[in-house]
Amino acid sequence: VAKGNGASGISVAYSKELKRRGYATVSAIDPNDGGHWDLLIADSKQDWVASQGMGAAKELAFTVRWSLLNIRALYRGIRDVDRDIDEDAWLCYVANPPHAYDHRSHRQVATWPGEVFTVFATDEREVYGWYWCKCDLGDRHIPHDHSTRFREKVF
Amino acid sequence: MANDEAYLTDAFAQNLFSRVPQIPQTGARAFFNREGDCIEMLSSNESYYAERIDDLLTVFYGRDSKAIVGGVIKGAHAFVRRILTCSPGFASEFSGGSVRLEYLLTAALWQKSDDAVAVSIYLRLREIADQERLSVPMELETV
Repeated sequence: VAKGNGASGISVAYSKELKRRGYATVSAIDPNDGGHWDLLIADSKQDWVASQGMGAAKELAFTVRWSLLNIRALYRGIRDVDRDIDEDAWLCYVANPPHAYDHRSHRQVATWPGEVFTVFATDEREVYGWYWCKCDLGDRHIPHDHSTRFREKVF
Repeated sequence: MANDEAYLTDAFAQNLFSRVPQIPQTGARAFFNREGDCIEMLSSNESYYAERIDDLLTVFYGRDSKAIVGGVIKGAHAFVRRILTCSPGFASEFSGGSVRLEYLLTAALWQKSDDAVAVSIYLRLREIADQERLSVPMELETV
């Protein structure tokens, strides 16, 4: 059991390890201390990815998991105006993976200049989405709209 | 793990790869992501990059075609709640535990008036959803 700050800033106890029926466990950087903790990926999400073919599956197997452990930045709090959902503790992992996977050919390809890879997780520690997007003009390691999208930069 | 080989051969990868069908889907399809409360939509199997349009929508552009090949509608339940507040009759579009994606995109489109680029993106996604009659599972009771 470890201790970290919840969305409200109050110290809460949590477990580094996490398992749940219907989900796979993956390792990621823990925003509380920079160590490792477990995140979950739903079987239904894995099925959706697998249905897109081996290229998308390799992206999840390598690019997503590599990015969760090799962050360039980690943001907390998805800042959306006029929304009534609480995403204060949701996380965005940002990375520059060494290469990418082409969805059609399944082959390893060079990454795209001016882009970063972002992986999103809920406050329930469920990884729910990821994609390549434009990086900031002044810093190629963070998303271009980071200042308006996230509440705080954790690392 | 230090290299690709380890990532692509461990138990997670093997389990994931075993789910890949012999012939991957290539047509338009949609997926309701319960964990993220978002709706994902794809109309191609090419690689893509994402561009955030607004609080609701992130659009995907194909690497090869440069065309719109999908997107993510975020905060799906919150969005439907908002629509129902001003348009209660929208509830009639829910049937059999699902709702047509075209209707959700229309509702979103009708809230946009000041951004011609965003409107054209919503229109294109709606066109794809309409052509394939895409729907996503969503119970009105859970909204």
